[in-house]
Amino acid sequence: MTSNDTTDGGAVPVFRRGSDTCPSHVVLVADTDPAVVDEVADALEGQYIVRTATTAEDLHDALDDAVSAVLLDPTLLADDILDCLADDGDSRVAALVDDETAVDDRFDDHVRKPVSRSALRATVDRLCQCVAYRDALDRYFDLARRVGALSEGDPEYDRLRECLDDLEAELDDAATPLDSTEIYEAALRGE
Amino acid sequence: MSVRSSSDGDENSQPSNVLLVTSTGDSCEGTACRELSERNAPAQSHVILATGLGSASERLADWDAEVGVRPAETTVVDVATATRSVAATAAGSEHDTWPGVTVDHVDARDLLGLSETLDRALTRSDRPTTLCVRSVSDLLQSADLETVFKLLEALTRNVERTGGVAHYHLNADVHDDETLDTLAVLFDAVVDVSDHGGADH
Repeated sequence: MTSNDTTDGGAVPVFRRGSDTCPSHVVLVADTDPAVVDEVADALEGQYIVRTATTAEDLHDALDDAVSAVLLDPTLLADDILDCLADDGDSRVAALVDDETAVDDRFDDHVRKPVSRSALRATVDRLCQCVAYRDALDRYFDLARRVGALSEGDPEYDRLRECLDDLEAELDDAATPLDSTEIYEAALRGE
Repeated sequence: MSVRSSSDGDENSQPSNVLLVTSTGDSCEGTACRELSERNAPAQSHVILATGLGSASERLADWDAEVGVRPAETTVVDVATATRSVAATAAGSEHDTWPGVTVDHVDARDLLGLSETLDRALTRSDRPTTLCVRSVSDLLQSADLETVFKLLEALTRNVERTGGVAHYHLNADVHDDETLDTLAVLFDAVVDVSDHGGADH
């Protein structure tokens, strides 16, 4: 671990950065139990940039556009914020719940406590893959529209077509692990 | 008529997803639709007809007139547009369909529901599957270009995954070239039988 914890009541959420890979997705872990936060964060470090929070205030402070996936104790989240997350194409949210707890269907997924590391990583991988596909798709549309505005004789046309081909390959890679339902949901969420 | 392919792969493999660009009242549209629909032999195929402005019964009548051979299995995905409500569509279209045809109704504003309905149809049969979407122009009446673009990216991807073939009608008379060229990047080939055929798009 590379930073201090928030469990002492500090208002600033902790940002942890793994060191053995180059993580690109930010995952926010929030639970009222500091031990659960540490356990989940430890399992994800190295593969993801991990933020943690143990209070609703910290959670609110840590939640911004950079966050791809949120793993949280549902009691920490206000209803209107869950609505926003459930309609946000750029992030996914999973509930961290005890074994018997029913899960609100606005959550994309859930992880049962005590947490299984392999199940946790598989869930976060999938959530972030959906975000990666949507992010590539947003950029693909923007680029397609720019290409569509040019005539084939325009000096920019060939260069942008090459960029479009590269982005198609990225889009294919992002979509490969996803099933058809996940692809449709990722493409149309919030539209 | 012009044909443009954007496939980089095997020249002998048929394109999975083709954009069919048409004009209002164009007599070539039916011929082009028939040829694209016959890439899998209809008598051995599952054919999915997704329809917007035309009712289910109108689409089946079009098929009889244009193709003639009835498919082994047929699904109509009836997308109620602003001009045809779901209730009116469901009440009025069941009477003149063929025996055994599955008709699914969905509101055009519910694009996730539409995609789920199409996904179920694409995996409903073990037969070779052919999808005809008539039309992208109708979808663009209910949603903006970005949303329709994203829906079509996901749909074309899933058609390819399931091994099906599909074509998508688009009326060039009601869209500017920029819209056509933006959407065209999603398809393996563009067949243009519109009055503007052979032009830039």
